[in-house]
Amino acid sequence: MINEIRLDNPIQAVFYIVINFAILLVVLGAFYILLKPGSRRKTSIYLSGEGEEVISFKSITPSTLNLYWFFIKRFAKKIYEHLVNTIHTGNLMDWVEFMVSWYGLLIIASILTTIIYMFMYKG
Amino acid sequence: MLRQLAFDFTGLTVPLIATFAFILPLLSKIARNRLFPAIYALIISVIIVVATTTIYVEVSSSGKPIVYAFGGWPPPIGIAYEIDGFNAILGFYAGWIILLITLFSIWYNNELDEPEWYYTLLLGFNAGLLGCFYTGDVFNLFVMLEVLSISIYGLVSYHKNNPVSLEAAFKYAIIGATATTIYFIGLIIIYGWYSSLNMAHILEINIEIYEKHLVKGETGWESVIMASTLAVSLALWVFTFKSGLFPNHFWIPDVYCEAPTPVSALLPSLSEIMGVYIVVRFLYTIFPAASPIGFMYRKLVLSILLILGFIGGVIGALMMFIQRDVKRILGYSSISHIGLMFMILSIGAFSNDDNVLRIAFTALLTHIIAHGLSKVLLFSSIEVFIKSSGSKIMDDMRGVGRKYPLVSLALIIGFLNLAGVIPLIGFFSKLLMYQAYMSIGQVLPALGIIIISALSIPGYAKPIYSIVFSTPVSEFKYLNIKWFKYYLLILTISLFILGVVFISIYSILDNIVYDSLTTHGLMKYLHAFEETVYKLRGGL
Amino acid sequence: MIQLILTWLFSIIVFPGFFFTIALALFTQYLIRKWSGRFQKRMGPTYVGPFGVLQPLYDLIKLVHVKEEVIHKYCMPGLAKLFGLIGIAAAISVIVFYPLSPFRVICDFDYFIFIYMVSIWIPLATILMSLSMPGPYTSIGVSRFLTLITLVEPAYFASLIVPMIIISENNKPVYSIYTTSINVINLWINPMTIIPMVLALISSIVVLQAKSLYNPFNIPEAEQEVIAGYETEFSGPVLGIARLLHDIDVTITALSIVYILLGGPYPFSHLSIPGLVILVLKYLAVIYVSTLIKNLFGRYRLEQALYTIFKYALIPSILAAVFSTIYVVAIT
Repeated sequence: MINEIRLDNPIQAVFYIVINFAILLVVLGAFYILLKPGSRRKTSIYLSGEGEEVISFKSITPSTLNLYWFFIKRFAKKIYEHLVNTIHTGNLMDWVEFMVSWYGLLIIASILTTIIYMFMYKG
Repeated sequence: MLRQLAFDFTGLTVPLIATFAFILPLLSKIARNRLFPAIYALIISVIIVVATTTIYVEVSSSGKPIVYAFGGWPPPIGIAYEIDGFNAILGFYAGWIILLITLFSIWYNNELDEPEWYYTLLLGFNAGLLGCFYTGDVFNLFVMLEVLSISIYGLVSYHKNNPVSLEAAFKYAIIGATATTIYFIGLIIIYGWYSSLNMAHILEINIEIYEKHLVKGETGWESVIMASTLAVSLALWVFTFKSGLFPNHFWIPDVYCEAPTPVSALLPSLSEIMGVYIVVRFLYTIFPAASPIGFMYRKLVLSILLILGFIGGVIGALMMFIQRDVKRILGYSSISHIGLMFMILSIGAFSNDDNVLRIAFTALLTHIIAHGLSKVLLFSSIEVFIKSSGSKIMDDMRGVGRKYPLVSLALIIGFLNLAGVIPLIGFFSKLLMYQAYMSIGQVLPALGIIIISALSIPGYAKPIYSIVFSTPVSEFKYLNIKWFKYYLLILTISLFILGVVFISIYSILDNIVYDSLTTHGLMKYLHAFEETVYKLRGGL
Repeated sequence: MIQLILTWLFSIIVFPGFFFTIALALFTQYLIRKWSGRFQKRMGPTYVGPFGVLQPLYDLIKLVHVKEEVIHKYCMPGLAKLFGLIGIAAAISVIVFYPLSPFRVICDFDYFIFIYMVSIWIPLATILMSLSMPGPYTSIGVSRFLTLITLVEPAYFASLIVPMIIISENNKPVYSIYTTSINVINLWINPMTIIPMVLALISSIVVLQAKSLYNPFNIPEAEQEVIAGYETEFSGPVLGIARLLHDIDVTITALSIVYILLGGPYPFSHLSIPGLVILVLKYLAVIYVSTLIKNLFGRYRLEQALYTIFKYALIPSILAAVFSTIYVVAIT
């Protein structure tokens, strides 16, 4: 009773997965509607037991700058210092340094190729 | 009949758009209505859509490239536009995106203080863009590149009272002007050696030199290697600047942040794609593996592009973590995605097998379409939030999405498409990229792609968190956005539909790539060119 | 044709789809709670059902059906439940790739579809679910969770791809979960491929621990710091769905390790007694190792956790992938 479907293209397999997804959503939705609770109660946001007046900032949810604090300030601190202070300074002269290095690399590549061809097939 | 119509459109489209662009200021002086330039531009965009669709349908159904020689002059002497499958589909995509951007600009019309100049520059950009896509002559590419660039510099600095926009446009313009001059130097070198500026003619000379002389290792041919490698180096630098690959990406965040929002939407979906397209043309059509640069240079340069694409992808993703301004986040996201595009187009560094190239370029085309549509959708929805809250900083926009459920849904779907979740079209481009690299056994680029995808997700979560799900930071006024919500709804649904019918889109794209970028396609490109030259010289 | 559709619906809804996966997830939760209880000299779940096996099921029904839903004025509970159900549906819908299922879909590169459903939809569903019930502790919990997931998912991808690189050289379809789980037993016997496999196994156990947010990685719900992290505002049905999603995530990750890295029931066949016994033993071993680590460690700070994942999950899996590529190049 084993039914195997062998396809050659993963894009065809995505079709089956999407149909599975849809069937499961319907089944899960049906179970949720059967089992849903009767009542709903409104309270205030949990702020360790205080009311909303404790928050002196403009909004209860924190600013977006606080979001990845551990990653930016501890784990990847050196990478970010380098990225912000050395590479993305906003100063046109620093940018031009990087861009001209890439330009120089390309020119060196082409000159090197010519010289190598000259020496490989000498005579 | 369709062929004749498509042939006429090829020659007609670009000059027509340029003409209409130049007479717009005069006509709007006569009309004296604020909405007149907008409706005018809309009509021209609809004409562009009709023209590019006709060209695309003709080229993809017949499989033969269209060659239009301006003025009847045979190509190496005259300018010719050559449209094979690759630029037909990119032109088709560009036409529809131009229509979407024009509709977006019409909604944005109240913020434009002199709309006739805006739409003139926009139409000038359209002319330059379609000229860059359809041209078959490297010098005409330079001319169209200048048209496009000047229009973009003007469009970016449109809000001329804002000093930051002027600074962003100025930084872009200074290096952009230098870049186009450097491309011109490359053209001098090409003309000096090849005596021809037509892409197909240069391809023909390249293949002939490679097969007759270079495979045998004859001496005395160092000059062609010097000329071709130097010209390709110069052109590559310029077009990696235009598309925003890693060391040349510094203009992108400033320009995205300060340009008017429809122009910010136009850059990642059209202008940077033009840069990617030209790089593919230079490295896969004009100078393929069987050409003087194929000796050592091509694999070296493609490997370097792969590494730079990976670094660009990672830097774009990492810089998204620390931004405060929502349009800058989308700028760094563009840098990351352009890095991904360069990673997939550098597959020629490992293998020249046609089957692998088919999967890789189908992945590139799918990624271009998915990324462009997402960015237009994201910029459109973000403009609603910026107008409603009056600021671009995410901390001042917290909670504004709660008043606009449909627009918030569009924002979330746009970001999910960039992340690549399953029923949307953005997933398939990543799947095809993995497939292309895994089928030649290169695991490290595939790991690189997944690291970039995983690193981008916290960056996408920032705007979603602050705009849609945060508690409101003040009482935002409710903006009545009238017909714009249908625009956003149609764009969102199209992302789903394109994902669901992707299996047929895949076969269309696969056929197009087979007919244009594989060896078989190159032969067709040459053959169409030779036929036209033969006919125009009167059968000699 | 009718038989195909019936087998398909049976596979999705009964075995190994909806009912089986939820039962397995709840049983896994029971095993972890019981073993942790024994490690900590307590009884663990005992009263409900024989040996307390039905405790997680009763907890789920209590949360979804009996308890009252408590929300605040900025919550969007309908959206939260929708995202939670989407996450559960995404996790279960890829079960048809496994040899466990009577209705199988096998194609080249189906591993990537599996990764995109499990590694992208489940964390996204968790994040969107908890962002729909906002609050200051929730936001901090979500950002910590997201930072952790950013490093864990590439490590998961890399560690499971190690056997696929070697097996795809000689077997079609390439990079498929089915082919890999049939042939991976040969990699454990061959002395030249044992080193990448061991590195991949170590990396995948660390990844299992990090994805399931058990000690030492239970940072987003660090109780002294962020109350309950991303689960702070959950209550009633939303909490039930969130915990079910979490358990299903653990189960699917453990199943993928058992099938792709350890070989499932092979070298015996699926329907034979030794095969079933070996499959169950492998699964219990993976869960036991996870519970052991959970009870041995305290909680890391976030940057310590990120360093640990970088050193013990990301680097070994990338090294193992590079070794297996070198092995493949050397063999051909």
